[in-house]
Amino acid sequence: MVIRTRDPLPVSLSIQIYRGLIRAYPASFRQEFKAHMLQVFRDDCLGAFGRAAYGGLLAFWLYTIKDFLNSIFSTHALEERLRLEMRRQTMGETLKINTEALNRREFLNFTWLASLGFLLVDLGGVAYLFSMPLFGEGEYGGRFTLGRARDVLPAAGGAPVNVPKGKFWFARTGDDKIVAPYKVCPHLGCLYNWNSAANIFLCPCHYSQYEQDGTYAAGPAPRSLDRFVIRLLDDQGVEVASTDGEGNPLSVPNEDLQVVIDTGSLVRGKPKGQRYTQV
Amino acid sequence: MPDITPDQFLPLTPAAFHILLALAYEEKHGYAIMQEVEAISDGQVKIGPGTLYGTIKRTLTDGLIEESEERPDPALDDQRRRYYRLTGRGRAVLRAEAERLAQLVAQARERRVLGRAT
Repeated sequence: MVIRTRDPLPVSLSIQIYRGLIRAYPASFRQEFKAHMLQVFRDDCLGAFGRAAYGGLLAFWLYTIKDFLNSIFSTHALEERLRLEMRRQTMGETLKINTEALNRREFLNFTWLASLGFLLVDLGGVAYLFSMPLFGEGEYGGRFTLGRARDVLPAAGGAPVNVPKGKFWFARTGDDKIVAPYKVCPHLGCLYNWNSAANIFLCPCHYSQYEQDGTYAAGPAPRSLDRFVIRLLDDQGVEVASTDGEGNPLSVPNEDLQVVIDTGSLVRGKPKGQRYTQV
Repeated sequence: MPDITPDQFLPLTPAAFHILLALAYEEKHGYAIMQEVEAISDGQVKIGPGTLYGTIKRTLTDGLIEESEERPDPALDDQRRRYYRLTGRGRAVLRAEAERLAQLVAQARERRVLGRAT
């Protein structure tokens, strides 16, 4: 027997786990080498645990799993090849074809492999779900497709448009520049409004003021308005331009482009005193 | 079997090459092969039990190694361990593979990828 009671507990547990892993190797291979593999595993495991305790054991296991994945398929392929060769030889002598039902051991191996397979499928499914976008189109956190620039752009220099569902304002700051500030004041979180008499965004709580492009103008706020990334798409849905990392107003090169506000990407406003690039 | 030339087994997998190399001097059991491979490669190649016995099985099937009946040192060793040694064919294949690799290294030198041997 390979396991001896004097092995440290982590080592003997590891051996038990490895004993389970070995079940995935082909039956004939196991019959020949199982005891030897366990012995080598134990020698190596004791060495790793002795050298670096749990850190050593962890590294040892990572490496063992790699070895397992590397060798499992090639051993199956080899056994399959040998079995076919043997069958071809015996078929030359007699034409008896082996049609035995599964025995208990094969059934257990099958079950073991199937559960491994289900686990992998589960993990794959979870990974797939996680790779999907968290928010759909038109949901705050996702993208808002406003429409073609020609149809949706406010008048140049005019009043910005409030889009409550997306929690942003949509402003045209010059002839062809647009910006989409987040509707919350960066000072203490109130909702500011557009004041058309003064042509500024004005926060009712502490009178922080911002210019039409969201630049800090006056009041207690620490920075300019945070803004969402605007993406301009062509008719094929290919992105032509988007708001840069500084949050500068984005130019619209062509009024046929679709305007999309990405409320999943927020750019922090610049600290007070810093200007945005204007043309 | 019809004529089998060493070239038929080339190129060897890295694991197979290391294992044959580990058996070049003397016969060894599994764990000793594993340690020898690590020593040969300066710790860069480590072979786990699956790869080790998978490769042993393949090289046994191909007749490159064989189980040895004798224990090199019966007093010292464990009855359960199985020892392996190179066969004549295994030695020829090992040599052929080493020559092939040497030729590659020579080509690398030729093309100034490696410095000249001194």
